[in-house]
Amino acid sequence: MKNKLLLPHRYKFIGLMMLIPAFAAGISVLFFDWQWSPLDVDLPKWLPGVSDTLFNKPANNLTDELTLSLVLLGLVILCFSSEKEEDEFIKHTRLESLQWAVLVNYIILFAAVWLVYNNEFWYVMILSMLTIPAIFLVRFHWVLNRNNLKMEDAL
Amino acid sequence: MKNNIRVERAIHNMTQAELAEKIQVSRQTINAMESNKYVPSTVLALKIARLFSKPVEAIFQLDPED
Repeated sequence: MKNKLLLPHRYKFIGLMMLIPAFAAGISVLFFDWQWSPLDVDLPKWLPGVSDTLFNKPANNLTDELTLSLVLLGLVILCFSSEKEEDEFIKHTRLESLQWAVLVNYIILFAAVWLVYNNEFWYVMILSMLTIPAIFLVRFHWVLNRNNLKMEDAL
Repeated sequence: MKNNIRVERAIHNMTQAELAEKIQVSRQTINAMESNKYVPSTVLALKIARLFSKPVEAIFQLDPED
C-alpha cells in the first residue's frame, strides 16, 4: 500500500536544512525582536489588520512572516517525508505518533491556560503553532530508534 | 495475537534481515512482530505464511484477550 500523502525520503534533508536556520532566526525574532531591514515593506491596505492611520502605518517588516513560514514549512516537510523503508509498521507508528502529538499538544495547552498569564501567554500561542509537528517528530523517531536498538541483539 | 515467526525463522535458518527482504518490509517490522508489539496486516500475514509454506493459523494464533 502506497501512502500518496508522503514526500520522498530525501525531503527529510531539505526540511532539516530549512528548519535549522529558520528556527535560529525565529528565536531571535521572538525573544530579541530581531528584524532584517531589507524586508521592510508597505502592505496593501485591504489586508486584515492593516490600516493607514496616524498611529498605525501600513509599513511592516516581513522578517517574522518569513521566519515563521520557513519554520512551519520545514516542520511539515520533515513530518511528511517518508522513511527509507516506509512499510506498514512505520505507517502504523506514524499514525499513532500523530494521535499522540495532538493529545500531548492539548494537555500542554490546557496546562498553559492555567499556568501562564497576561502578556506571557503570547509566547504560548506562538509556540503552540509548532508543538503538534514537533511532538510528532520526537515521538515517531523515538519509537523507531528504540526498535532499532532492540534489534541489535535479536538476530 | 501471538505468533511463532522467530521459531519459523530458526527452522528455516533465516535472519530478521533476510526475512524482511523476502517479504519486502523493514527489519523493524519483523522485530516489532516478533516481540508482539505489532499485529501485521492480513496481506503481510499471508505473505509470511506463504514463505514458510504453512497455513496462517500455524504461524499466527489468537490470544485469550483477543
